[in-house]
Amino acid sequence: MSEAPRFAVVGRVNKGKSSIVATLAEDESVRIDARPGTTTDVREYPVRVDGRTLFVLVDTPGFEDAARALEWLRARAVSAAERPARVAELVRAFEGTGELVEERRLLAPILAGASVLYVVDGAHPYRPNYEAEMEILRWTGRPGMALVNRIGESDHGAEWHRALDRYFEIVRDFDAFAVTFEERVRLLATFRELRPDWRPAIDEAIVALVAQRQRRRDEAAAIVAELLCDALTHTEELAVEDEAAVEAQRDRLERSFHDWLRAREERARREVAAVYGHREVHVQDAALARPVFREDLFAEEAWRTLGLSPAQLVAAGTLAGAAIGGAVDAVVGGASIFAGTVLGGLVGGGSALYGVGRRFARARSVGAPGLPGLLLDVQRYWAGARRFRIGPHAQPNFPWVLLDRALLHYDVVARRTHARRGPPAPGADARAGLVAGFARDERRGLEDLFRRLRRDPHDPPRAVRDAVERAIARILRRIDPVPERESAGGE
Amino acid sequence: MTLADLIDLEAQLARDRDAPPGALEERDRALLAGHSPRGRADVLSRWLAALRDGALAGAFPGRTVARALSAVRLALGALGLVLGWAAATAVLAYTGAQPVNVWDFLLAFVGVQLVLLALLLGAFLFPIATLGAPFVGLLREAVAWAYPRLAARASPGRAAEWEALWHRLRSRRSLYHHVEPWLLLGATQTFGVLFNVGALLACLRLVAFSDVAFAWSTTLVDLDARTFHALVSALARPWAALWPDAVPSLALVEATRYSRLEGAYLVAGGGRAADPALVGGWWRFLVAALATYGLLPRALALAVARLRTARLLARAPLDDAEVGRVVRRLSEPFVETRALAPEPPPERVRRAASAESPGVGSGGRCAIVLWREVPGGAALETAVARQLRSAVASVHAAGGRDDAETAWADAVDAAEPVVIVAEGFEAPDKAALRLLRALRTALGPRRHLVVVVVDASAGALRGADDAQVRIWRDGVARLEDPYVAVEPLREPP
Repeated sequence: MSEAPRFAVVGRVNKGKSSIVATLAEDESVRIDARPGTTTDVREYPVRVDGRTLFVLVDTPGFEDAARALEWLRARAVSAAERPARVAELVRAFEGTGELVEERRLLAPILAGASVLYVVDGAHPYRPNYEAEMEILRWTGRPGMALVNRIGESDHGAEWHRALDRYFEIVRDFDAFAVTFEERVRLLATFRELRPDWRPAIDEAIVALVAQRQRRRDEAAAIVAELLCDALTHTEELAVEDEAAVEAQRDRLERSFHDWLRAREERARREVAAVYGHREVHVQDAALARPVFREDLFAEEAWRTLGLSPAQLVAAGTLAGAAIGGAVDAVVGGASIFAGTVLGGLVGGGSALYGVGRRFARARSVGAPGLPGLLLDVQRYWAGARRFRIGPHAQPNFPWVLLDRALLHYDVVARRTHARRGPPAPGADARAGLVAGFARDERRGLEDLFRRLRRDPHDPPRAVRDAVERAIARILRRIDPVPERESAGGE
Repeated sequence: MTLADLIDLEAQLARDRDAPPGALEERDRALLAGHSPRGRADVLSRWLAALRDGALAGAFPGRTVARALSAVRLALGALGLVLGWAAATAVLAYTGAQPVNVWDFLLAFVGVQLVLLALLLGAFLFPIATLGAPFVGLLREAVAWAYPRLAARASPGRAAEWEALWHRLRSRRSLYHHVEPWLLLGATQTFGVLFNVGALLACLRLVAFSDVAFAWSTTLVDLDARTFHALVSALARPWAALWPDAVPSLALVEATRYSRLEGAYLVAGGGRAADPALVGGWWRFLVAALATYGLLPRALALAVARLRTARLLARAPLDDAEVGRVVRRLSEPFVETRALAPEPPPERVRRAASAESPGVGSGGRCAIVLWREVPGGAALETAVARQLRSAVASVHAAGGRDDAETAWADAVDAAEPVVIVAEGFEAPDKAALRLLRALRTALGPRRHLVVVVVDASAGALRGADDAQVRIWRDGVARLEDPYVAVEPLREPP
């Protein structure tokens, strides 16, 4: 097989070359720093599928003295055909010296056959001195394209495009910090235009990346489903022997229960971040201006903003109650004149209304389920001990708040590029809750699944858990639409 | 997929549950390297086989459990064989005192078996099993109560682990509950088939190696020989064409009606005057009835149960979302995009000592060098002059597109300080440092140089932000020149 396509990412120092490499290679370990000269060596990022390298991204040090290099190149008049050789001569001429070190390093992979991805920062104005770099790259004779990156708020893209169009056949905008997966795929598709013989390898890589993205989304759906199942079925028990310590122990049980739920949610978030190759997405402990999904799970703000509205909750409770009552009506052949449906609806709606606004679960004095538990309770009664159980969390909005927070977190992680560092920026990534906007049928289906999970908290049926996962997967497909595999490879 | 595979798959899924997906992907890729499996079942089978090869003993209990189930089936079969033999021997027990009643045999080996078969079919067709749910629920609760205590007693350190396994198995049961009845049916029908085989063998032994006299009798006046013959002829219809000798004739029925009161066959006369060939003639019918109504349905039920179990086992786990993800992990392309080796740690950057403004000026003259095409003009000159309290003597450019060597000593003459105006977004790269070195060389070691960092990107001039100034200070600090200061443009026009 011929050698894999190589793309050398070049440009002036501190213009976002490493950010682009980090985003395209999904590598959080790429060093990105506002200080210049972070990248001092040429580093390769091969895109491998099943162990075969399909193409290689080459991160390079930035141009630091292009004007001097160009001056050296122009010192002797050469024809256009001789220009690549003249560039090679420059690399050789300064070998072993401390001069033009960065220029020699970045030109080496290009002279070895790599195509050029020239990166500029579109947030800052164009200056004619950049043409020295573009001219040198033109002298190499290699096919190339320009990427207008954005490291800042301002937009000077138009003036850059005018300048770059004179040197490169292909010029694309590419914000390494905010680019979507679809835009990345589109950029990769553009790579095919640089050299037609590289097209099959790029096509194969695109198909594999799309498949990987879809698989990641499914993994995330499984993690969120597992979180919901665990959180909705979690119970804790405590036997208190000393009557004087009942209240303190009861409080301790309630704290332990809610702490467990918080920790479980945090674990799920770490897992989702790891699926997308983010190891540094932490929830920042800044006190102010946090998006609601980064508040505490039981924070008042989170419960007010996320989940279903009180009206939606009461409607869902009424429907569920009416369905159960309707089943009773059906059993008696309608002899109850729909009293079951009406009563069930009232009870369901009423209990939902009662539960609205209560964020915390309460410990209750109960025994183990069934006959063995009854016998145990009798034994404890004679022994003077009391037994408390807390969970599953029965508040009707709890699963919706939890789901909303999980979806918002997923949204941030899925859209976060690997060039970003530190916690997600507040505000920019925050969205209002998602579940309140679900279609009624979807809400009803999920409500039914939540109810079935809570019904059998010790052994939630796997089939129900699978149904939850499928439902979450459908939601995530809307949040993170991935191009179809068939269309991803071709145009 | 076999039952052993399925159990092994469950065990592996339980182990992989908390492992990071990336690690699982790498492990599985290495395991299946070089294989190109076809279909989901093939993918899973190969994966499990590869995992088993490198696993510790006990990590994959599938074969052990399957062997245990086979042993249970074998034991049930042996028990059926023995019980069938014993039952037939008991029903056909003939001491010569009184003949064997055909009714007893038919009731025991045809009637009861047909009723059991009907119940079995009913159980599959109607959900009568749900009627017993409350009792099963009680049993489950009792087991759920006893299990953790027994587990804690058996291995005190792993009680929580055992309890988690229990809940996981109960949870997973919903995926395989439709296989359970077929597994149970297979086990019970193994017993049934061998029960009938045992009964048949016992019958044939008694017929071949002893003489058995058969008879039938009734208290009912209306049940005469003709009616009984019609009944047995109807029973014999399935094999009438294949084995006509096994269909009792009316003569046989009439001849073998027996009276216990008289202790003799009614037609053939009393006691031992009966023709042995005639009174023993029922055996063919009874053997055929046992084979047709006992053995054949059981054998069919067993075959259906085995086939159905195999089919469900082959299909059941592949619908599960968790298994679906494993299959995708194994069969879809494995993409790696990271660098092969981690990037070495960055060199420590020496922080710049806080560079102070030279404090010169006060009526002096300064020279301005515009670095890399900073937009100049009167506004910039005024701002620099105000900031440094010096009149601007000359303005020069450096670092442009076509940079040329400048004779700086002549160009700036005696102006001090020399102010290099740079834009904050430009880095203090080697070209910038080269300019500062060139100025130092040309102007001598003590001439003040000031780098003023500006922001001219929005059209208007202003001072660069602190981060950019800090970057310039750090960059310029590499020169270790105490007469070079870096500061933002403080008094923009």
